[in-house]
Amino acid sequence: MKTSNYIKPKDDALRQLMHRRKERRPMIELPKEIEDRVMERISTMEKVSAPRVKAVQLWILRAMSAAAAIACIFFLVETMIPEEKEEPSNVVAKVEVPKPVEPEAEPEKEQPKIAEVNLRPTQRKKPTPKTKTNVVASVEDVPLAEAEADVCIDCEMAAMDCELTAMINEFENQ
Amino acid sequence: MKTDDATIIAQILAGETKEFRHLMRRHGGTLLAFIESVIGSREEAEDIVQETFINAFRSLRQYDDSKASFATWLHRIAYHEAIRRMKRRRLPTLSWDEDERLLKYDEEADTDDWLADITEEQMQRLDKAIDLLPEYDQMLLRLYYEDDMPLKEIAYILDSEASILASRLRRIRNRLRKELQKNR
Repeated sequence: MKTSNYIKPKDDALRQLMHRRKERRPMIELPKEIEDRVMERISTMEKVSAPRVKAVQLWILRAMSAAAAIACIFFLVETMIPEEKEEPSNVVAKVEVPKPVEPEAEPEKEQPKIAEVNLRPTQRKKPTPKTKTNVVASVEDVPLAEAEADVCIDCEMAAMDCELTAMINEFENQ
Repeated sequence: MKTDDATIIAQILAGETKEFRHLMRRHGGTLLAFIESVIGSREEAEDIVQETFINAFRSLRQYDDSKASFATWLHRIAYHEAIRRMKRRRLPTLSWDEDERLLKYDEEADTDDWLADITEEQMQRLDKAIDLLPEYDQMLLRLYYEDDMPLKEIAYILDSEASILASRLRRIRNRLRKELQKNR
């Protein structure tokens, strides 16, 4: 090491002399009262710092519990809201499904019938009953069995319609 | 069994603050002697040592045993506290610049030869010559020769460099040789 080169071993005499001086000198000990004073101040420092530490610990605990509570609430909200959102969409879907069976559709069908009531039998357009060929043509893609079933219903409907118009006409004539 | 400083420090940091008394008993005397040599007053030195121990307790967590021993660390705190007080009271702080000119001419000579064969009578004269040295030099001799402290640790205490302190020690020896020749 660089520093060791500076000090020669020949200075042993000086070292010896210094040790002699040290031995000659009365052994100094730290007075006990200084020890006591230091210990007293240390205990005072601890007393002061202990409540602070406790206060800090309490604050940290409160902060952590608050954060945990917020996290819980957030989690619950996050998990609950999508379910709530899905429900209305289901309802809408459910509502939309029966739309084809709208009750308003019937008056629309009836309106022309009422209008027809005022018309002369000659002016009235006779409803063209759906023939088997027409129906089959309109439902070309539908399987045969289903198409036949549809044809039957249409025929019945057409027949009922005819009967109804006939009854109305009779009533008018009377 | 004598517990080492590191164990006691660990106990104190774990909450057993009463153990700090052991550290005070172990190092208090040396520290007091050191500060007394720096400041020249026992009363003041006691006050500084008390403050040193309180400061050491406060910053015990910052103590790094890889840098220096606990004793060295305490010496450093105490030395800086002493210097701070001396400056506050506008007392002349320890310096070696005043006799720089006086020592310069001896720089080249290998002057340690005279210490190799020194008589008992010369030892006594040398003893008196040491008392005439500036306080800073006496302190340096004490730390290096009496307390057998490595130069690196002394440099840590005094905020200096080991090479500078080594050079300083060589100059002190030259001065002592001069004193010895003068009294012949």
